Amino acid sequence: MNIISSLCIAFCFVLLGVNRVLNIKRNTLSLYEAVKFINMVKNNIRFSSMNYDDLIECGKKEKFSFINFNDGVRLSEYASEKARREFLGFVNKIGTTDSVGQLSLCDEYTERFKAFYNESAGNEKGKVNVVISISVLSVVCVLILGG
Amino acid sequence: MKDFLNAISLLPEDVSKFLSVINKDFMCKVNEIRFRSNKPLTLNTREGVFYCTKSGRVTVNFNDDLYFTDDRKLQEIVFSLSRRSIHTYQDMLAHGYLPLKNGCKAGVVGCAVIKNGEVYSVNSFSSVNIRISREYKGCAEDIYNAVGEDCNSFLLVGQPLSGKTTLLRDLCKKYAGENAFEPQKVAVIDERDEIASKSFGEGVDVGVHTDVLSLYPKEVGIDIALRTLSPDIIVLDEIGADDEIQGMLSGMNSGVGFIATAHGNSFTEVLSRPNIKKLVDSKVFKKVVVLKGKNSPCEVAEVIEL
Repeated sequence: MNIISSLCIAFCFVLLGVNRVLNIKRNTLSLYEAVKFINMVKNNIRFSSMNYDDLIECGKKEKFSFINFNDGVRLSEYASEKARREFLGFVNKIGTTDSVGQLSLCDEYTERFKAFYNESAGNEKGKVNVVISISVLSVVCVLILGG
Repeated sequence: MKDFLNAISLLPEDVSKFLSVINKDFMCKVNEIRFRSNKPLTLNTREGVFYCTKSGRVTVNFNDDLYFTDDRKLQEIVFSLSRRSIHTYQDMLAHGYLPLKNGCKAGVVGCAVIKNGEVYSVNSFSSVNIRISREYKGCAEDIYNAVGEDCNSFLLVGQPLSGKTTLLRDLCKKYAGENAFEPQKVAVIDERDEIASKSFGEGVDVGVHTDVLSLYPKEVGIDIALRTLSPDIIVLDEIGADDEIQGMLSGMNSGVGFIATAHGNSFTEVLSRPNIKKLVDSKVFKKVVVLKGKNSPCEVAEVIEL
């Protein structure tokens, strides 16, 4: 097998790895934005008792990249199924209790999403190391096979 | 009909859709829409109380085909009327009401949660009463003529549904509107957001020279108005509490006129209340206007010189 074919094969594997890492990265960013959204809701309820419609308008103005406001409020497809379900659960509970209850709700979901975020960030770091290692090893293999 | 549709616009979609199909002429007569837990929906008019069947037909007969509101639906109605934001309206709910559009109001009661001797919040809602507010342009003409142009301080006394709040709106425009002969600066202390309904959008027109203090407690609103707005007239609805009276007595010394309303069938009845008597004795008001009652809304029964 000539060197170019070997390089292509190696490149494909690296690409697959990079794609996987990017998806994990987007998941991590989604979870980061979820925490930011929950904090925004908490602050607005705490300091101005903002109503639901105004909270959503505030959310839209923040220009989140991984939260969709078109059909209700949803976390992007890049987030895990579990995270998306939890986020929807949080959104559905906004406005259902008095302000003390709402602030407790925000605290509870902040903790949950921080845990998801830390898990994802750890996962991402690990996968990046793997991808770098595979890339280096692939190049070495190609050089050895080519040589 | 527009007022009725505005009043029901914040209800859950299935309920407002159901109410929007009732007879259009009947809609114009409805004053109150009442939901009670596990009881039939009632529509109150000056002619009496009516029920509504599941198909939207209005009837006076109590039968099994009537539209009933269960507990779950009532919770949903309150949640919807609070614009999905119980936390925003928790203080108002503790005081038993929710402001709606265009001066309409929903009375909301249930099981009170008491903290330090005061109602802190309400759960297990049991009744919702939507009071429909209607604007009658020119309805204050008679009162304005009866009290005289130079009188800017009087008390309006009337039963519930006699038109007190409706008259207040029109009086604000009389004194502070663009067509007023000598416009005066009016400050409206709209504690329950019923007069001008400004807390949600444009609200009701109460005059070009009117400042509206929405949702301010009356005594705080009077103080702020006096310190910052230099009003000629302060307008208040449903006075009676101790701190409101104190605020008005302080304001009187600033030379401001007060136009206020109080519940009552007659001047004698209202005078039996110590707080109102205090105001009358202190000459806060120059005149008292007694309204005819709910069968002749916005009509004057008598004007008493103080």
